[in-house]
Amino acid sequence: MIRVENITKSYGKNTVLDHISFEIPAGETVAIVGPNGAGKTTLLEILMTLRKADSGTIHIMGERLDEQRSVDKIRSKIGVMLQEGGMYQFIKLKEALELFAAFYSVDKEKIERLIAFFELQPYLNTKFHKLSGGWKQRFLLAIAFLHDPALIFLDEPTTGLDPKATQLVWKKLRGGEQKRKTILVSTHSMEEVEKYCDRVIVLKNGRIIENGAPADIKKKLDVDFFSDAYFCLTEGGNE
Amino acid sequence: MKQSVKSIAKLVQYDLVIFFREPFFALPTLLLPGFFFVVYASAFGQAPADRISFGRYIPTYMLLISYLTVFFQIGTQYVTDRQNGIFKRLLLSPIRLLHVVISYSIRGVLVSVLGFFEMTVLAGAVLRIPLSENMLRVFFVFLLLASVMMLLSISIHGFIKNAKNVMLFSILCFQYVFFSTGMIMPVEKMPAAVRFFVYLNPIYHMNQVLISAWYQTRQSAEHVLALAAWVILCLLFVRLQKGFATDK
Repeated sequence: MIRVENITKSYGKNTVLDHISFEIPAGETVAIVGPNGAGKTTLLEILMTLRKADSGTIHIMGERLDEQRSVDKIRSKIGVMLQEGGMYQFIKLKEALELFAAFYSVDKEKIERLIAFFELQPYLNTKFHKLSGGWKQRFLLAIAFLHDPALIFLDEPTTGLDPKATQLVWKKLRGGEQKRKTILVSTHSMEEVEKYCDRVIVLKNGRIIENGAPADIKKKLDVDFFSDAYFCLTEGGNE
Repeated sequence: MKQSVKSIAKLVQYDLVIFFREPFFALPTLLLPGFFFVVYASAFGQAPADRISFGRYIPTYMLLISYLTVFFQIGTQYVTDRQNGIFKRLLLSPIRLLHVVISYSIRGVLVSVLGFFEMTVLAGAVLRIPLSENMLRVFFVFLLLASVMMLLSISIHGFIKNAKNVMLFSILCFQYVFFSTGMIMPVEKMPAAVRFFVYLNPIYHMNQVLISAWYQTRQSAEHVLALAAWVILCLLFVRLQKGFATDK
């Protein structure tokens, strides 16, 4: 599904990504974690086609990401949920669904199914800015799923949410038909990584310092929780 | 092609819906200038001769509405939309940057045209002030100026990164435009040093061009050239900014 070979990215003299390589097969849920400034968002934005890597090659769903034609094809096939939200504050939910459905040529029947799956019916006439944090995230997730993409990028989808809202977001992400989708998520929650992700890529100073299943990493480092493994890897000891 | 047109049409539709729904967007920019025009015209133009002379402010008020909606409001929205990741989100769908720009431009021109007709109706039908003898020509010149206003708005606001800065910038800009377009004081009566800043103001040149079209007098090359220089400068600004929110 995704093949990244030796990519680098710098902003001036600051190297943000330093010779990164990895592969993600179809159907996996993969987390990208790391301390602030490790390069998570930059990596995600390169894979989402928002930024260009300085060197290296990237293949997404069989397309080589280095020409505009491929970029356009990939953009129409992926689903995204941005850290900033990226939604008009004064738009009603049903209007936003209609707007994005027009971009992706999604039919009404599919929209109805999506509304039912994400349980959006009571809020269709509510403006986006009036929703609670949890409902905003749920709606943004619904928009990401609107055209039934095989690959979904999520940039910190549960930041600021309480445990119940977080659980709901993941329930929708992993529930029903969504199980077969490939999901790449950037997060600060080690609990979510352990609970919901098949694999985790740990970044530090723009390099991959670990790449594997959370359970395998815990076993390797002989710790009980993935958060301990994370601190071992990023800070060199348990906390 | 068909899909692009459909996407742009939907984007324009909801751009307009959101524009008119945002508090303090449509009301102060579209309606208040018209209200003040009626107040001033009623207060200072009691006699028919006074009303005719007050007619010279109609194109200025049309331009004022275009400035408030296109430069001030759409410019502010452009910065906040970018800050909220809306452009990023749009660009990550099959929508292209060009579609977003076209949608912004169509909305800017449409809202300006609403202002044009608002002033035409208020002046002609309500206050019975004689209009220009060639309104069609005035309309086309106005459309051209609204497009230049749109370019000014997008290219200048492209340098502003967050909503806090845009408010301060808008307040300063509004003061500058208000005092140096000839709305408050005739430019000829200003001291020479102040007049220099007036000549730098693109809205002042737009106002002169529109007044010329209104009275069907010969366009002064000085104002047309000043606007052409601003258009070139704005295109350079756009090139410098390398797009909206990405480094692609």
